[in-house]
Amino acid sequence: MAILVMFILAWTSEQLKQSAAQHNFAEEMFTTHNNRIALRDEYILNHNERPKEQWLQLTENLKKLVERAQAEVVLPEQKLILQQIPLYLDKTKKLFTRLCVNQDEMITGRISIAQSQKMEQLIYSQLIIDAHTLLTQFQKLQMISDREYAARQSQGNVLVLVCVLLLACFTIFSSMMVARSIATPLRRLRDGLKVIGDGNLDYQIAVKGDDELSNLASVSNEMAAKLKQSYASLESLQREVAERKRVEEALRDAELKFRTIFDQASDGILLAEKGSSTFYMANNKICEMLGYTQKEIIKIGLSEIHLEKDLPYVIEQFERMARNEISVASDIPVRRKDGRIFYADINSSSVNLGGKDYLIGVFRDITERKQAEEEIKKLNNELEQRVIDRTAQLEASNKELASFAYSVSHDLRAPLRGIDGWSLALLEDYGEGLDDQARKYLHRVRTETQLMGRLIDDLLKLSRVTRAELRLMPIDLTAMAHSIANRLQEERPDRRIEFIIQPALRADGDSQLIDIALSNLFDNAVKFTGTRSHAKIEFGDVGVDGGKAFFVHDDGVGFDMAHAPKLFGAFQRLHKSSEFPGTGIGLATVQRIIHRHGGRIWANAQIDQGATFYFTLKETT
Amino acid sequence: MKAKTILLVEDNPSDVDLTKRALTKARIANELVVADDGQEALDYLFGTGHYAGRDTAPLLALVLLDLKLPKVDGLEVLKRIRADARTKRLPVVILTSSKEEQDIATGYDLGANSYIRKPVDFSQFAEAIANLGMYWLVLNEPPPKAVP
Repeated sequence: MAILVMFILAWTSEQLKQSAAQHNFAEEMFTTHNNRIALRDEYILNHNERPKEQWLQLTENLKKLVERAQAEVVLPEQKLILQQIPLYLDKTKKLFTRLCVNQDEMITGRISIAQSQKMEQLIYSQLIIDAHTLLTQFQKLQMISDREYAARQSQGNVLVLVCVLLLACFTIFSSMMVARSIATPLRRLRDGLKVIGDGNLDYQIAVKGDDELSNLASVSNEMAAKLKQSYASLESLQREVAERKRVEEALRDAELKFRTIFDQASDGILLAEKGSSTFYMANNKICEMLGYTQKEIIKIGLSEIHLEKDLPYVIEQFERMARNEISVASDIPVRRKDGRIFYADINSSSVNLGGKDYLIGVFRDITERKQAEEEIKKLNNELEQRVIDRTAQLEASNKELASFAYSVSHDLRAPLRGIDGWSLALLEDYGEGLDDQARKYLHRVRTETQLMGRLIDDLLKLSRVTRAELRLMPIDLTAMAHSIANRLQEERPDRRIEFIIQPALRADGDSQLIDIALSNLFDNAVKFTGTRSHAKIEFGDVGVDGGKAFFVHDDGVGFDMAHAPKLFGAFQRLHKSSEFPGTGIGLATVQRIIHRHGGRIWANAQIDQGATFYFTLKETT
Repeated sequence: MKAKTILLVEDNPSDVDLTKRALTKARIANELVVADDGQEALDYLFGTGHYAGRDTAPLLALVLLDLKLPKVDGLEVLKRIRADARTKRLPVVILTSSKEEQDIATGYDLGANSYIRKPVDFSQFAEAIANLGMYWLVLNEPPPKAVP
């Protein structure tokens, strides 16, 4: 726009300049023409060479001026005038030159003065006319250029005015445009900032272009982003603070709980930092135990609560505990503030709290326990003494029993032997003099005597079984059973007995006692199959309750299981002596032997369906 | 050759008589000397006390020794018999009503030559005595006389 205005202004100025130049040409030509008129007139008056020369010169100048002007002018009327002017100039030049020739001819005398004067008048008149015509032409030219200049000037003024108006309009328009182009982004920026300011930090202000406002918008966006970041970190900070607060509360809570437990603990608890000579922390119980206050206790250390003579032992116990050699330092003497000593079991362990190593000592006052233990010890001692006494009594009575048994066997049997012996003597020496009845009575005496002898023998056997020391060794039960069976077979050659003995039966036991037991069971089996023409006796083992039981089975008369509980009692018999003789001590003896071996014995039978005796022996691996 | 003497050490008179009868019944005619306690038996054997001055030179045929005796018991008597050079080879048969193993074992340990249990059934005892006489008095070659 400015260029346009400038161009217009420049153009206007050029037009003006051109007009001014034309005006100047016109003026100069006018002036030169006037000067020429003056020089003509001077020449007329003086007829000097100088005005003539000058006039000619000026005419030449004027001709050049006109030529130049011809190149300059644009208007057709000017061109027309300028085309005519040289004609007149040439005419005047010819006239002036004729005038000069006339003068010369007068001087030289060729013509007379009157002629010359007349001539001169003629030429002069023509010259004046022509000069006037030229003058008019030049005036016209001048007038045209003046008019043109004025026109140019007013044209320029109008143009300038238009330019000013245009500029004004442009300015207003551009101002409006600028206002618009600034205001919209500015509003956007303001609105955006307001949104951001209201807390929406995610809001992005639209950025257009590359001007300051856009920069401002980008900067605002960045600022919002940074603000958001800081808000975020602020939020996380707040969260962290809240979390920390919660943790602190939990910690306080835990601390309170810990404190409560710590102080309520029934055991005394002491904490000492490793290497420190004083305690670090103590619970109420230990203060109570030691008779110190909380404040006092943290100013003292191990050397105050243990006697100097005990310290090395105490420390050694702690070290052993640290090496896991013992779980607790028992029976440690502990000194109270008042100097009294009590005994405690101390469990020490090391812990790391907050990067520091501590020793924890848990004290359990064992005074009461110790008293109880002493009481128990005393009681135990008493008991032991009583046991010793009782044992001595028992031993004495055992000895008594032994000597009684000996006496029984020896002393009671002697008279029996006498009764039997003398009855026999009577029978042998005087039998012939006695009648059958008397001899029968004597036989009865002998039978009864001998029965009593057997009873005594069996009783002794039973007591021997009870008293004899157990000598456990591996026993080949199969071999033992075979030898017993052979013996029985030999004793009773009249009987047909089939012995079925399982091979490879083994057990650990006292072979003499087991022999007695097994012999008894086999004896019984033989005895109670006496009514069978062909008896069958079995010996073997069978699985019972996950263990192994041996059994002796016969196919004899059996017995009523209702009487089974009496089976193993001494002098208990389930059969009449007339049917099956016996003392009733055999099974009692067997039971005692089995019991002494840590086993058990039981029977299963049915009348006339035979009987089975089971026994177990403590299995030694 | 005069039958050698048998020494019966027994305190029960009934047993003494029954033994005598059993010996008689078994036709064992050897002279029978009875000592009714251990001390008397030792006195007889070694010519001391009541038997001081007795000629102990002729060897006895046999000693029938009950274990349970007043004063000095049978095992002690046996021990003394075996400890003395004059009697250490004397056949000694223990007679007892006891079946206590300890007695039997100790008896053999101390050098008893045999052992007879006196059962209540006298027939058995008589039989045992008869067998005993047969073995020790007839079949068994007596030991050479020990040199004091």
